[in-house]
Amino acid sequence: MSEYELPLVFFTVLCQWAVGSIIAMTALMTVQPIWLNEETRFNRLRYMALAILAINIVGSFLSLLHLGSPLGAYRAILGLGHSWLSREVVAFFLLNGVVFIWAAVVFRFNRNRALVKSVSFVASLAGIAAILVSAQVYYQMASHPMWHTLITHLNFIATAILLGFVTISLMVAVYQYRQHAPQGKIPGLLLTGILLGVLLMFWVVLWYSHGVNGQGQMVRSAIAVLGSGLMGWLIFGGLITGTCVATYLYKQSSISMVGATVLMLVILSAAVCGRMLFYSGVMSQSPWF
Amino acid sequence: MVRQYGFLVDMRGCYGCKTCSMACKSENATPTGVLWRRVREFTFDDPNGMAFISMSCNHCDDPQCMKVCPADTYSKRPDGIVVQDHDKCIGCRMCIMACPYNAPVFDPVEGKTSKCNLCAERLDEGLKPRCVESCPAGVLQFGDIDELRKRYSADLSRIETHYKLPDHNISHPNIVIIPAGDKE
Amino acid sequence: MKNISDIRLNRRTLLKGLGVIGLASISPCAFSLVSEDKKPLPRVRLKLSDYQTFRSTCAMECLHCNLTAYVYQGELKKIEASKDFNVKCCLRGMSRTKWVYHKQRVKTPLLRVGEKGEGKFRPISWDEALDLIEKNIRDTIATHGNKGMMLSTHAGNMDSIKNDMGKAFFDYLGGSTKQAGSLCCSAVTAAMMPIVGLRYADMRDTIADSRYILCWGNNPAVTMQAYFKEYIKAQANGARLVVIDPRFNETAAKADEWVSIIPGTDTALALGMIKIIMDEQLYDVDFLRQHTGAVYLVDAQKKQMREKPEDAESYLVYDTLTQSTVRHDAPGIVPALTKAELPANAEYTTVFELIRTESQQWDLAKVEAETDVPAATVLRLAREYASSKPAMIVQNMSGAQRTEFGTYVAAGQFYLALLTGNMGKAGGGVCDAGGVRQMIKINPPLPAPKEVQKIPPIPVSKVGDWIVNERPHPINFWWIMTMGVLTQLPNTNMVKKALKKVPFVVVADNLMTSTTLYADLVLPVTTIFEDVSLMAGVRSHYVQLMEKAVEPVGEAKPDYWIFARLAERFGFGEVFNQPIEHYIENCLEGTGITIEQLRKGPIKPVDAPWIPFKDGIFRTPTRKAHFFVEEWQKKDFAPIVTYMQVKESPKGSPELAQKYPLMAVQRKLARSVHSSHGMNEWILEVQRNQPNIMIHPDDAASRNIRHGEWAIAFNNRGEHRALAVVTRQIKRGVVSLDNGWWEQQGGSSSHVTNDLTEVLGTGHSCNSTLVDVRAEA
Repeated sequence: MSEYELPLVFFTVLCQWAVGSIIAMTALMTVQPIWLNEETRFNRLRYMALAILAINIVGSFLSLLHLGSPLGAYRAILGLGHSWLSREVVAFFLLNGVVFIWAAVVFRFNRNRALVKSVSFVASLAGIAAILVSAQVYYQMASHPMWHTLITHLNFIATAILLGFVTISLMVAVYQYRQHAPQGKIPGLLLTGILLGVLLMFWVVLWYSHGVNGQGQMVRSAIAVLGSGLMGWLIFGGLITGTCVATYLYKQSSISMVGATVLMLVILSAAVCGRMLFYSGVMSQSPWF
Repeated sequence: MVRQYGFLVDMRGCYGCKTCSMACKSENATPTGVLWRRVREFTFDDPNGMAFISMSCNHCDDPQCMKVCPADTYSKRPDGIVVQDHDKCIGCRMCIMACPYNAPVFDPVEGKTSKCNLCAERLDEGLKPRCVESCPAGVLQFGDIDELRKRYSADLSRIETHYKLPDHNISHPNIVIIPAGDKE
Repeated sequence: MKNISDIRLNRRTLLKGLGVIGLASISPCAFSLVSEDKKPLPRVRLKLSDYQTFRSTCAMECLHCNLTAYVYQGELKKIEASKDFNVKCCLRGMSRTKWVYHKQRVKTPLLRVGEKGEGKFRPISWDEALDLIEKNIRDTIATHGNKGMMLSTHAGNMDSIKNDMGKAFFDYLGGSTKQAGSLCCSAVTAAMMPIVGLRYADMRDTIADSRYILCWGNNPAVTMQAYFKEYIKAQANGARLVVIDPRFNETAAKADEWVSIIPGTDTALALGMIKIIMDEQLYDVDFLRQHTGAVYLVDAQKKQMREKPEDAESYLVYDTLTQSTVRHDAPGIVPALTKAELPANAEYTTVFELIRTESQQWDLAKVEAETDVPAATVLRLAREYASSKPAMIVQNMSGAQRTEFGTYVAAGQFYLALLTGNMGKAGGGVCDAGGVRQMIKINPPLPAPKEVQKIPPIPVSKVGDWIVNERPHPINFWWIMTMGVLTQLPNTNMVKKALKKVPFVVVADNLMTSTTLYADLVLPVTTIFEDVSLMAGVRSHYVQLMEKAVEPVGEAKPDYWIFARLAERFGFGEVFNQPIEHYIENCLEGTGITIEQLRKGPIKPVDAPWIPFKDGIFRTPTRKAHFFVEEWQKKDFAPIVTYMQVKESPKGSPELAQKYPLMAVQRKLARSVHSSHGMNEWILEVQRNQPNIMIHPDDAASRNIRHGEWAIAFNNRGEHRALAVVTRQIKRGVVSLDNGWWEQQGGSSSHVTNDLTEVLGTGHSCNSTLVDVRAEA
């Protein structure tokens, strides 16, 4: 199991989920201002913001479990000058602050739409930055071709977008399901976001499979990744289910809480599988020499 | 003053006894599962062959461990030895992931990583690294890498292809490997 | 040091309490926080001047490299190769730190409480243990006589004191049943003693001078490890290194050529080479005439002719100068070697011609058919060996002689070396195992008792079988020391039965070995560095003092202490209970070497490189090497080396081979010496920690055996489980098994090996074994 680096899997996936959700929520507020204006709808967002904050905090806390000496975690910033891990630690520390402020603003200052929107926008940007810093940690390891590529950045962003837009789309759909009111369309931007996430993730998968034609460690990594059963779940639970969710919501625009939860879990678990592959593709080759 | 210390491995004379590995273990009293120096074994069929490369830390010019370490535990001494301040280690294992040669080793019991320091304390006492001293066939040598390279100009690229070694351009290891010769 | 450890432990305890473990299920690191306590890395490094140092040597059957122990505050911290010694020790020597402080050290005498084999014991005091032993010895003598007591000693401790003390103790009691022969090399003894008159005559001092090294059925890169640098030096000087072995071994990997051969057919190869050497007259005529019995005359009844029947050394030769038969040592003669030099109508012939007759049938085609060595290779081997001088055959207790007719295998190698005149020359000869006892006389530690009963021994390979079947008589009391009978004796299942059958089994050892599991009483004995002893044996060219560096762990005592206490109870205490220095002095008496000198370091009794039989002076009564061995003839075997098909082989037992078609050979690993070191945690970490079975891809494919998966070698004697290594580095039709794995690790290859006694030397035929292999279900 250790080759999957589970603490890191959950840390990165959860935090990326949180960031993606903030981005999707910002998009929702922008294209359907009714979500800002109507109190019941906005209340959904308020609680969603708290949930996202919680996910981000839990995710960040899980990163500590990766450490052999968690009590020394404070020393993780000593290498700021050269280590992207140090920078990641700082970035996520700051991100948690930003997300906290964002959640607080959404939760408390709901009357000020401009403030909520602009803070959401800032939080989205901060989230993307943090994710890119995360990706740099792996990009920095020049000896692993599967990590030392911009695909790592793409992979992390894809995860965030897929999970975030699925979450917020499902939230809207569940809301509409419960209202029994005349249902509006799920914003096209959200569904496009889902498809974009699927597309980016597909790109990552294609790149992995292309790795079989590469050389050295990349070939071994690609074979390990493609040969794993987890890849099947990533494709089914992530790419196919993601596309289905977008298609379904385009047609139906509402879904039961149970249905939404199941779909969310399927896609989340696919993202976890994808991330496990990301780590095991390299770590299962250890010792590389 | 030595600019950079390094190891030399003469594969021609190495028959894979692993005494170096044990010498390192006994000198540094590393915990169970923590082996700083390992002898890599290569077996070939058709034509039959066996080869061995003993390796610990290569005290690289561009140490990847040092680069990725978030706790700033690694430093390069003026004589080029990459040493670790073990107390500062937080066990994040980034160095293990980053090092192309698997030099750092994690001890799950202690929750920390450690690696070969080229017996820096022994050098300071005027002794040779224990692995070098223990090699029954004199296969392992150590010294000023510039001197070693002057004496043996072995091209690492050919060995890298043959034994699937990582590309030396990643970290610029300070090791000279003399290949086993025609029988490779 | 201690304080730092404490602080660290406390910190770890603190961590445990921090609730992090709640999430341990997903964190491999957090998981381990709750596992066992381990000492952290020593952060404060001891300086060289902080240590006390002591010297000793590995005492089991190995090269006896000199070791230096570094001791700090009464604790053994590390072991290094001694700086002034000629070779450097291997990883096993260094790992002895962990042996002294091994988790499975026997710390008190242990009395069995469970069934034999269960390994359940309760600690008892030394007094109780000694009482029990005394009672059992007295009872056994009363009911069975002295022959009811059996003593097993072997190669687990080859120092100059302990095994001898054990044997002497039972002799002072009036005698006991002992083992005959040895597992390693009695076939070599049976060949060497009559041929050259000395055993343990090794060539290690001049390996580097050799131009051609033939490693025949052995693997010096592993079994002569410390000296392998000399082989590499020889190669660097232009020597050709050739390995004859069914397995592509570590030496073969360094060699210029690997000749794979069907196990048990080595004598056919040797005879084939001899034929070529004879046909092409590549032999050394002068050497043969002057220094060997090749010129001795043999009559029509195939008996060597003597001048006077009562004078054993009065062999006759035919002097070509005077055209008459004369004593071989008559001055100024030129004895006839070949038939052409004899009178045309002579009714006698020479030993040389007997060898020619014997070898003539081995033309290249027949050699190839029997050995599977290509005819061209045989031809080249013979020519290269005979013409590249000096050429050395590395015998070193070869696996080839652990076969049914191993004596002929060893003798065939001596034939080759003698015929080509390579014996007695630097870089030439036959490299046996060897030691200081070939150079000087080392005495037994104590005088032999006056009256010892003559009791028939049990051939060592047959210990299990004979005890179970009460041959030649029932055994009631069995003392086992310096021997892992359960991992080393062939046919392990039979040995287990024997251990269960004997009512009182004492095992004196320092670890809970496989054999202790079947003991009635386990006695804790010291390891090296815990007692004082002397090493002046047959594996090192140095006399070495074995110093005590630390106090023994628990109640462990040296074997000689145990025999001293028992001797006191039987009324000959003063013979055994003198200070150890007394016995060491006894051993050294007459050598000119003193304990005081030895305290300064090991001593090699000769200055120059040791070249046994230098200038063709052999150690037989005639000082000549003898090809014709009358001892074999007396046993109704051919007196000239001859090839015989081993019984347990596809050709020798076609029916058995239907069931068990694969020939099994055993290999030694750098991880252990026989089974010693086999459970050392450092060794398990540094070396391979699971047994392997090497099998050819063709043999594996038909059996569905996959590389890296578990497979089971089996035959009518038992089963041996190991990881399959599917490789062309083993001959098709042959599998290679690892010797020495403990019962606790799944058991040794001895579970399947042949317990047939090697016929001429009472040796071990483990490499004449048939098995089949199946994939583990």
